[in-house]
Amino acid sequence: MKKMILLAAVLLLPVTGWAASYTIDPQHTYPNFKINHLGFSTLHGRFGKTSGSLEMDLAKGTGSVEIVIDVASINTGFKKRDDHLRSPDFFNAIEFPEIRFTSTKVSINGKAATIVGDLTIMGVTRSVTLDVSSIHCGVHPFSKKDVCGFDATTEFNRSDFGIKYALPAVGDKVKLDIEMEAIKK
Amino acid sequence: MQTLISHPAFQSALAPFVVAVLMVLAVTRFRPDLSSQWLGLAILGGFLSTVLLTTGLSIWPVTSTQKLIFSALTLPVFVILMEWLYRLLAARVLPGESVKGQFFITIFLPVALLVAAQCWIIWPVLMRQEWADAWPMVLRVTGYVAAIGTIFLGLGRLREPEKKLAQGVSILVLGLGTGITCLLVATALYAQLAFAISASVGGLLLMTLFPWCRIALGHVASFGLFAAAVPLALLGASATVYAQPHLPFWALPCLMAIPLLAWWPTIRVSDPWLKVVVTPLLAFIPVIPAIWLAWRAGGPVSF
Repeated sequence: MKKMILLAAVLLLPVTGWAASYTIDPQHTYPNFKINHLGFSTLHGRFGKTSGSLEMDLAKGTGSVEIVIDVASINTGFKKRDDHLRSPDFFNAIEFPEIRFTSTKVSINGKAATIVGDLTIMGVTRSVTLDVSSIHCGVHPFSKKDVCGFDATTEFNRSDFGIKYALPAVGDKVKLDIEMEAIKK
Repeated sequence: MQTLISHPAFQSALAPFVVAVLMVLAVTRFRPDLSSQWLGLAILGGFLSTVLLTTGLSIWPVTSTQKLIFSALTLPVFVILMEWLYRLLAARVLPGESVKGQFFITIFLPVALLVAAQCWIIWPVLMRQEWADAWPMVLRVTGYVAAIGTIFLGLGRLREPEKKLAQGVSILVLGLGTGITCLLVATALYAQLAFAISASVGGLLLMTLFPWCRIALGHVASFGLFAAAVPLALLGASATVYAQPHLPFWALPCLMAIPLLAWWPTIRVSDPWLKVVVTPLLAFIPVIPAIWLAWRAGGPVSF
């Protein structure tokens, strides 16, 4: 009887798939943002330190994502501006050292996906939707580890999270692009 | 119009100045009998105008900045309540002119609340630290706000006409010093809020130059001094915790020396107009080392 159950389990494995767990690779995961500066140009910046985890069941088209961003790692290429962005005027990195995204619903469809989740900035949580493209999972050519990666993008208003300083001179709408890679546990 | 409203100079200088002047006019017109006591409303009004123009008056999310603004707008009213309480108790319970009772009710209690407010503001940082690491910071920031609160409430009790200019100028220059140092360590919002206090006090002091306002030259009164001292103390202390980079702690004792310097000309200079010029200049001397310390930490301002 045990052999029958084992055989059935092995036969069903390719059909059901496994929800694989991954750890975010901080060296290849960078949230990048764009925001309008005084109407003149679009400022680009990124957060240099991230952590988190990813679960993907490609067969079922589901999964989960948790991304934690170190606010103090913000980098726009100019230290004085980065200091200002870390200050209470904007992110208040001392009081709120993390930005967190936790998925609530993941729908994977081939190479694309939609991830609905809770984005928490400065203690305020709002639901946002990440549009995911270029999902690719495979064996890393050098480390030989299983890796999954994708690009995700979303937009939100910073004022919704209580970041109201210098509105409307500095834009309200923030475009967030996340390039993510994760290594199988 | 939107460009004007969103300009920092309008938000933190022109708007609070105009609001303070209008409120002094309103107070002196409608309550001339109580005008000196209620002059603090002009400072609160000016500060509130800057809050509305910069961050808006919202309670949520409860950030350290919201706590600071809430404390700045509510604690000064406590001084009025405490002075009323003291007069009530002095008439019924306290024997004669009880100096200890007066100090406890009108100075110690408001300052204790100010210290509690500062602890509330830095609470999220304290929660993440071991007590052994946190207590020096707690000691520094609470010591500063307690000192500023006590100094200015103490100054507010001095009734001699020649001392009133030093009171007003001290708080005006403390606002400028706090604003400049905060700006250098990249907290423009803190700087704007501090400049708003300076602009409000400036508006009030300007009105005291006109005899028809019937306010002694430089007179701000306890309520007004505390209304200005609360946000400035909280802004300076909080900048040593939340600013990036932190405002160096040694800038705070420099700022504390402002009232001492503002006092000197009340003794040496007799001409009132010369006094108006000399007092702020002398009071600004301790601000210079504070600016230097902030400059070393933060570097030049850029836009």
